Amino acid sequence: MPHGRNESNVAPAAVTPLGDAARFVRTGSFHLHRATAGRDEIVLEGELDADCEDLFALALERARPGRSGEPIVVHGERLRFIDHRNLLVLERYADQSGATVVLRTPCATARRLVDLLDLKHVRAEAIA
Amino acid sequence: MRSGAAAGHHGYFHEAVVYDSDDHFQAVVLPFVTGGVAADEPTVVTLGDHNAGLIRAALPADTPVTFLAGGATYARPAAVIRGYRRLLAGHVAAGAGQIRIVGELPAAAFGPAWDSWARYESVINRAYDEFPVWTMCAYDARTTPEPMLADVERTHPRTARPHDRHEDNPAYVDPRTFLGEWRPVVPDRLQRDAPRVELSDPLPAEARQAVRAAATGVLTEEATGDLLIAVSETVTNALLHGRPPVRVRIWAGATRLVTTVTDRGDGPADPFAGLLPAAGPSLGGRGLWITHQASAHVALSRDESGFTVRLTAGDLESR
Repeated sequence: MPHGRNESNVAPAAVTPLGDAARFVRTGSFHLHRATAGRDEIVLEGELDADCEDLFALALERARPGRSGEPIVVHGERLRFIDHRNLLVLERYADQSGATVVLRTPCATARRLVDLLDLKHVRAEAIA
Repeated sequence: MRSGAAAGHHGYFHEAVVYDSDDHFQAVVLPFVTGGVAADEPTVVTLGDHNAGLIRAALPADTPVTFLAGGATYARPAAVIRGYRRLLAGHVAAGAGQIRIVGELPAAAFGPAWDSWARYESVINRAYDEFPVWTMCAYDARTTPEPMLADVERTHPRTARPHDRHEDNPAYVDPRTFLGEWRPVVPDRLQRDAPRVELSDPLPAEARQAVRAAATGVLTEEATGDLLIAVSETVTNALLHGRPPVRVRIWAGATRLVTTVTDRGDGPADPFAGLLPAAGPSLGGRGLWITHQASAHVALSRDESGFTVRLTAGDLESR
């Protein structure tokens, strides 16, 4: 698996990124895994850009948070960067799940982008 | 119902005020402001300290006029469009028949960043046209360089003059024409020297890493974050939509970072790309818009080397 990695109790995601993003060969990587605290809580770490958009969507599908109807909490304590494409992946996932995503992160650029994009289903909360 | 010179006009009524004295400024702008108040139209004054003071001093203290800080409001063109569109939509939703705004750009706009403000003045003819808004954009003829005044004439359909005169500008051109011209971009002084960093075909992650390193000790954390967003989007666009090779160059001054991203392609075909808000959350094409929102200054240029996006962060050079 070249880029993003799935850990913990989530099945491995796709081996290769799909579509245009396959033109990229290296990237900052990300980790996504379920938080042990609850089924609707996931941990997201690292950097996400166009490189891993498809992989992130797939990893999210496999982790499948949000089945309880409660808000999906994304623990982004160690999130370093997420671009607008991947925030839109979260937005679409939340919309399809009928849930709200709460992204808790100290990453100011993530919070700035959530604000710029006027997302309806994703909310960003600052944490230290 | 719209009052004043814009009565009966549909959409955006965009005027320049090119004044050469305080008296001239007041003779045009004061009736505009008091006329808006008298007609119960939301009236917004976004001026620098001196001209805002002239208006304040001439109005009774409880006059219902909204004063916004000129410098803070006009910090980056694409963000102004976003902010004003929200403000206008709010007033229209509340039932306003017309909104009046008088504004002027801060001194920093009249330097190497001018190209982006000229583009702003042109694109808003489209961006605000869905609202019943009448604006006056004030320019001081004593301090605004002649080529910039020529751009003002080409981007404002009308000029407002004393004694309630509102004249068509013969030099006005449609925004599609104005924005489709590739005007030469004034080089930043930092670009006279060799770049501190040069990357060939970097991934967005590698470009971000180079920016983080170069910004250390130069930019604030907030400015660094905004530049990371802009560089990441621009490199991604170059890789996805441009033509290789993609080159990233970074120049660092004491308080300013200049980053260029060049590819061999022609750049976006849509002259409005980056300046108008993207249509919906599921659509693509947001990268350049986000780049404009996040950047202190964006300059787009096209020449024999290809298409270049220049991103300037930190304290902008003014002349």
